[in-house]
Amino acid sequence: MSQIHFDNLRDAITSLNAAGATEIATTAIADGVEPVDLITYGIRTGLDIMGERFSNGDCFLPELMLAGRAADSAVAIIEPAMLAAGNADQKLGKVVIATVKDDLHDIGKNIVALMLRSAGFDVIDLGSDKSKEEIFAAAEENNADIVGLSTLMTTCMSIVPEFVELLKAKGVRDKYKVLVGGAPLNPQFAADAGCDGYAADASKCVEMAKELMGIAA
Amino acid sequence: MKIIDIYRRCLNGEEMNETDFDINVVFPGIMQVVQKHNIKYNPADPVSSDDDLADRVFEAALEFFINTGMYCQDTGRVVKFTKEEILYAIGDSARPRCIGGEKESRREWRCRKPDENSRPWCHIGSGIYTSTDELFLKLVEGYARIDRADSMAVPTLMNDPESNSDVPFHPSEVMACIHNMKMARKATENAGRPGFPVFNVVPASGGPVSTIAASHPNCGTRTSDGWLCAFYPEYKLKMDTLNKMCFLQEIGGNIAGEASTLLGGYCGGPEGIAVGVTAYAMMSCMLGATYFLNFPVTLKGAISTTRQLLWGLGLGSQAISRNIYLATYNSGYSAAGAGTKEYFYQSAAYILTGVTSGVTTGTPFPAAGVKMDGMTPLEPKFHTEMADAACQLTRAQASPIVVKLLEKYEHTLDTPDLGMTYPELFDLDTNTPKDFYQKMYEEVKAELVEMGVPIK
Repeated sequence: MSQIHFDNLRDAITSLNAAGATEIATTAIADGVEPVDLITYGIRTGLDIMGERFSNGDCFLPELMLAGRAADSAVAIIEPAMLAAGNADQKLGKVVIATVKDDLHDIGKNIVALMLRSAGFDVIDLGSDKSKEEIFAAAEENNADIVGLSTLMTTCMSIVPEFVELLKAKGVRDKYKVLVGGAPLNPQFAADAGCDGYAADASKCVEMAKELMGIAA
Repeated sequence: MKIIDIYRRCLNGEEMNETDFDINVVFPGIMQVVQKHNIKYNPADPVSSDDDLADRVFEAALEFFINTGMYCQDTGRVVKFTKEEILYAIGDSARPRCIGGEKESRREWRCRKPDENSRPWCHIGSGIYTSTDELFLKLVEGYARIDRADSMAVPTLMNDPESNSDVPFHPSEVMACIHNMKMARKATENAGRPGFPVFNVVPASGGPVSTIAASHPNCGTRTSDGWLCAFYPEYKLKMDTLNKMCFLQEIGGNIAGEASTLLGGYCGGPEGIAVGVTAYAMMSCMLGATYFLNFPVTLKGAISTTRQLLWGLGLGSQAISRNIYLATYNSGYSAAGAGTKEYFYQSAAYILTGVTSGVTTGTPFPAAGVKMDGMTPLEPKFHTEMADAACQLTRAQASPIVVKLLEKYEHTLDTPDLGMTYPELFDLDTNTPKDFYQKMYEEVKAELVEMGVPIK
């Protein structure tokens, strides 16, 4: 039963149908489908297909953006249900999260932020195209526990080690846990850059954030 | 159309969110007209000879531009034009002729048609960064000594004389632009060709204050030079650009409308490139440009020598040259750098496509234009020789040659050899190519002759 909802949601995203994605997400929630599963097997699958098509030159930037809009429409329906079902009232820690400078991709980061909130983290989402200085300032201002950096572009990866260096230069490296994710990154890159953790997807990111906070999964 | 009417429409047009303009207007607009006018990409024929298809591209672009207009990023408003206004603006009586240079170098840039064997305008050089004044002078002098060239784009000299940084930076854009133009004029004088025109007086990214400052005669600038006024992808305009155009119309300078349609962006694929560049030529005419700098590039890699891009660009160039009276040159970006055979192959394919399609080309930028000191006077020389060879061919003759060239370099585009720098490739004392580079150049020319290119 759930698989039909996942497939329909995936297809609504790949056919760039925001209204359809809203309707399918509403029906699925009403039918009792797990919100997290809708994101993982419906939205994520649809976005992965679009990302692959874009990489192969089989679709264009605006189609990728329209798929993102369809995903956002579905997330807007799923989010309240997810927060209600999760541990949103329980604060496990404070996370400042951003897509780094010169990168406007924020769909993946938005999903991560949503799942962290649902899991009980207090999330300050700075949005996209944020400089290391802006991210650092927000971490300081909010007294964050974790700083999450996201990028989908190889040309923007260098900001990750630069951010870690900035923390060192400010003498606050140990004050924050730095957690990174995004398509071009991998565990080795994160380790080389001096990060505390890497997560391949939103679910792993929640697990990693808990681990960094010393909370048993 | 008077420029004050453009200002008025920027203030009074329909208000719209910029992303909505991109996603809800431009993208579906292009897709709709491509489908309606049955424009279909043919990878087997990179230089199309189909006049009816070229005219359908023109009709599609006209319909698209009437419906879409252009977007003013400062006011958040859409500026629209009627069909009658556009048809008038693209005609030959709507704007001043494009005349470049002084005395012995003074020439008129005439529009051509596809398959026409008339002499194409040769706009050589590039705006690549050059690291020092000394290299700049030698390079530009080398450009100016190419007799066949009609105009040139000079490199950008944005270095702070007291800085050793590899990153181009100058504390004052105004001072840098003034210095750049003074040095360019000095180089043309050193070459014994003081009347040779500079068709990029200030880099396109320069602001209106820098443009006005560097346009003063004390900098050696003359109205027979050319200025670049950039649009933003797709069909967007800033007041800065309009202000530059306003000033340049007043002084009577040659004004380029400059547009970089993105393959894979809001115009979509190769069919969208064909329609998109044609619509940009119309936009240039509406804004009073005297020539059009057309440089579509791929979203991935920012180059212009892929098969898809050549097809779309060639077809769009034909739509422009058959229907729009505007001197047009395509500015290319090769993935490979100077000092590689792949650069020459890509340059040859690009020039063959543009010249046989009725427009002309600039010297393709080596290494996508991002390698400092990454160009020498030999690439522009090759450009002029290729342009003179290409104009002896028809589109139907050029297309199979472009296919052969694509077979030589297509597989290298994702991991290009970025080549070498001017000092590595040239003997700077004599300003001539080093032996190995001269030999490579002659080998490539021999290969081109084998392929059927009548290059001398």
